[in-house]
Amino acid sequence: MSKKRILVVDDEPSITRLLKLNLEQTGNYEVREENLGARALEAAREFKPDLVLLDVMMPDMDGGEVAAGLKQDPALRKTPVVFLTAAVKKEELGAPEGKIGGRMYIAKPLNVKGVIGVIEKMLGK
Amino acid sequence: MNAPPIKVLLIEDEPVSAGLLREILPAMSQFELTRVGRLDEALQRLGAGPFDAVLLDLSWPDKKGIAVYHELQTAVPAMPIIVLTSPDEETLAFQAVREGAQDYLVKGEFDGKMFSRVIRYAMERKRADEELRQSAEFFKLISENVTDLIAVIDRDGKRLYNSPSYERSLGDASNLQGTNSFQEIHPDDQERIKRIFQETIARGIGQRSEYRMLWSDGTVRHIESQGSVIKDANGSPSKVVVVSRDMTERIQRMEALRKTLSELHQAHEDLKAAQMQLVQSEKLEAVSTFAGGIAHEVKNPLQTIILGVDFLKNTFGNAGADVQMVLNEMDNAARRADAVIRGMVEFSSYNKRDVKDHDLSRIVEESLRSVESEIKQHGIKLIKDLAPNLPPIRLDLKTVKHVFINLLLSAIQAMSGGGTLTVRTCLNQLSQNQGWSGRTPGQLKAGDNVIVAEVEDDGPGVIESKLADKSERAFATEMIRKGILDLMVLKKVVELYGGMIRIINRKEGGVKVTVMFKTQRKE
Repeated sequence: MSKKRILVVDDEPSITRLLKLNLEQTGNYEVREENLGARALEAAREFKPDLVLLDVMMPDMDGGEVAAGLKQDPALRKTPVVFLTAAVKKEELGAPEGKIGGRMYIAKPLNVKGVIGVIEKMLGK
Repeated sequence: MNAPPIKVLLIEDEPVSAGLLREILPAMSQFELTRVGRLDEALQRLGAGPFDAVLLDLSWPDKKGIAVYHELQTAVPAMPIIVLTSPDEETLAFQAVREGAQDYLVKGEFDGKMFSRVIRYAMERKRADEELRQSAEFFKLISENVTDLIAVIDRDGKRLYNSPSYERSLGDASNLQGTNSFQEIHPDDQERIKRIFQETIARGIGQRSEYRMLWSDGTVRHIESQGSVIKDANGSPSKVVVVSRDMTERIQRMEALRKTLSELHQAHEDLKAAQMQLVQSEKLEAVSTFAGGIAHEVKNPLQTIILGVDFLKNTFGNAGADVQMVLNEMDNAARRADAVIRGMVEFSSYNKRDVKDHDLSRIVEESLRSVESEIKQHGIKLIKDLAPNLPPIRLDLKTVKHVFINLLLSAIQAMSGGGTLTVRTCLNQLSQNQGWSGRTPGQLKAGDNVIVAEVEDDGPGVIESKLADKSERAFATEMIRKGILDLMVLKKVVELYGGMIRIINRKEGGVKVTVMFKTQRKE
């Protein structure tokens, strides 16, 4: 079984680095990190991920815009996106994961078990 | 002595007797005599010039002298009139005197000296009479026109005189004479007023008093009276003049004023409380915004720690127990910090706080409704004892309801295998011997009236120690593990509204959470 390719986009390098370390430690994933929203699309085209973990709030370009860009690219249109959110809205609280406006999200703080659970669900395992 | 002559008008139809009189007069140069024969002529003269006295002969034909006298007296009431009569008609002269003539002279029986004395005395008496009449008239005018009640009563309290103004209070004043002046005084005041009256008589000094009086229209009026003592010739008090005034309306106005004043005072207090609440609310707003901002900033470093601990746990899965323990402690600490932050974000998201008066029983009731399905789901028995008519508490409904929902959820989850949930509200007075140890926040102290809500569960407890602080810590950890908001956040929220939360382990197992708020107004 080949490793799944995960693109992690978050403006906080320590988070992307640790997510990469944790996910790759399982031996099931190949992770590429990206800390600039604006470069995320380019990275996706190059890396061709099976799934994108995308921070919602980034200083240069927010997660929503990145996701819209992915949708417009025929090669990436079907790539599942999971948002990472620093939960501010009331309705996001109480459940560590769920959907907002039809999109999958995981509320920060993430733990590795939770993230892997969502990834596996999304990739149909 | 150059005194002006005394002018006398003689009304006499017989020139003969007039002549006789003139014979006497030269010896009395101080008199100036003018004779007229008819009444109409006399009235004309009297109207034209000043006369000091009138001498009227009563010996008119057909005995009509008295009638003439009457006519004259009516025409000039202020004029001293002396009648002149013949010796056989002296009774007629008496009648005239009874009816107001100053004196009489009998023809042929007086000399110049007597004439002079009679005229002078007559003038003097008339002047005194007139003064008396005017003064009586003056008094009558006053007593009829004052609204004050003027009464004269004797030593026994019987009424001798009441001014017409009494008509408004006791009916026709003329019927009051001789009646007991205490009988209309309110029974509760009667003895006191009688005592004051007796004192007044005994000491001869008038006093001021206030009492209630029953008026003939059935109303009770507030009266203020001032007594003044009248003494008899021997100097002992014989009568008391009482001037009274109806103070009812003034008292009512004062009462209304006092009420308005107290309402104003209350409004001022309310305003002050509202203002404080507003300041508190603004403070809350600022703190919330600040907390929200901080929370976001803390989230990322916290995220790094959690992911780092996850990585280390996986990497050193086979390391010794010490390493595992350290990693677990770090994991718990990070989760705890996360729960605090979540709480901060959550409560700061209630941006529009609406601080109003609320009934704690209703808040608890509504919170219970929100967790109804959870109670059923776990087969929990609910015992509800909510006090009606609790004094209101000023707070934001949404925020405090949220606190109760979290406390209820925590209790429910402690009894996932079923149990009894007891929810209670009451009004209480805070005392130190309620099984509470440790400090109480600044707002609440022993003796304060507090509105209390209690949530009790009998689930397998969190008892790790008898110390309240430790059990609280255990409770808080438990709440976080169950995804319920951090206890510290709930505590802080309640403290914002002047309340406090305490957690104690029940001896029989389970936990009792007490939330209390100070009542706003002191009784």
